[in-house]
Amino acid sequence: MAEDYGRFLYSLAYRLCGNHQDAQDLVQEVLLRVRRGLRSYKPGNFEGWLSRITTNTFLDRVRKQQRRPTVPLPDEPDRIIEGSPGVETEAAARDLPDDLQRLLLDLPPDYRAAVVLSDVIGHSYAEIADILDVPVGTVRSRIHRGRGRLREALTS
Amino acid sequence: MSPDPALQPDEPWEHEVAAALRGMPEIEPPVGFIDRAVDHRPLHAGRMAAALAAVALVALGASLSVGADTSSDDAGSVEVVDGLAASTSVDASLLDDVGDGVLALARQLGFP
Repeated sequence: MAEDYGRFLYSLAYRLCGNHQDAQDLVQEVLLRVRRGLRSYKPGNFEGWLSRITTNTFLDRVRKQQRRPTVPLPDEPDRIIEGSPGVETEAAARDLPDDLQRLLLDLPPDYRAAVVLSDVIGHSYAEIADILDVPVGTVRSRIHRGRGRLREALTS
Repeated sequence: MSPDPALQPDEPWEHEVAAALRGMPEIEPPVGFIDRAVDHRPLHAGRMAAALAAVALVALGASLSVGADTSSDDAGSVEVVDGLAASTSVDASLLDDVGDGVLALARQLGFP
């Protein structure tokens, strides 16, 4: 099951975190939560359910890091799980048109989550409101402001 | 008073930004990563064993310290008088704290 949605889950985690190491940590934590929450899962939009767990786990981690700031370690070969994408893949991810991934990381986490869920993953505003547990108006506002910051960065 | 952007339809420039974001490719997980991430029991078992070993060492050290000084009449703490560590005090509540920590760690690792 997780294998089927692995690419979806990993892409979302990577777009939120911006690097493979944090994305892998996030995915592992998400899969733990998925395992614990499977009994309470009601058949429906499984990707929405995964998005909710992933985004909330990401935002929880960001809040914890803000309370206890740490200095990120550089990627070291022995810290990366065997089979990780190589330098070329990393470079390709960085060299996206207009370097959007880097610009996404400059957004505040709440804005980034809303923009990624909407414009990268393709969830509707109503779905995002459900995922983030905020009103639709708040979702629209975060997406609008997030896109605005991206636009400024792209045109500057 | 300017209108609330949350209540307005998307503006044309927003569609351009959204289109650029939609063009971002999916990211492939490392080969075998998802399988390993799903099958995390062995990893946790290893961590649990390491944690238990560390706790056992602490408990052993603390009990040796208690044995080193049976003359102490203080129920809450024990003075370690063994050699150079004469000034070190071991609080008896430490063991309770360690036990609570192990239980919390076990829960965090997914053990019921």
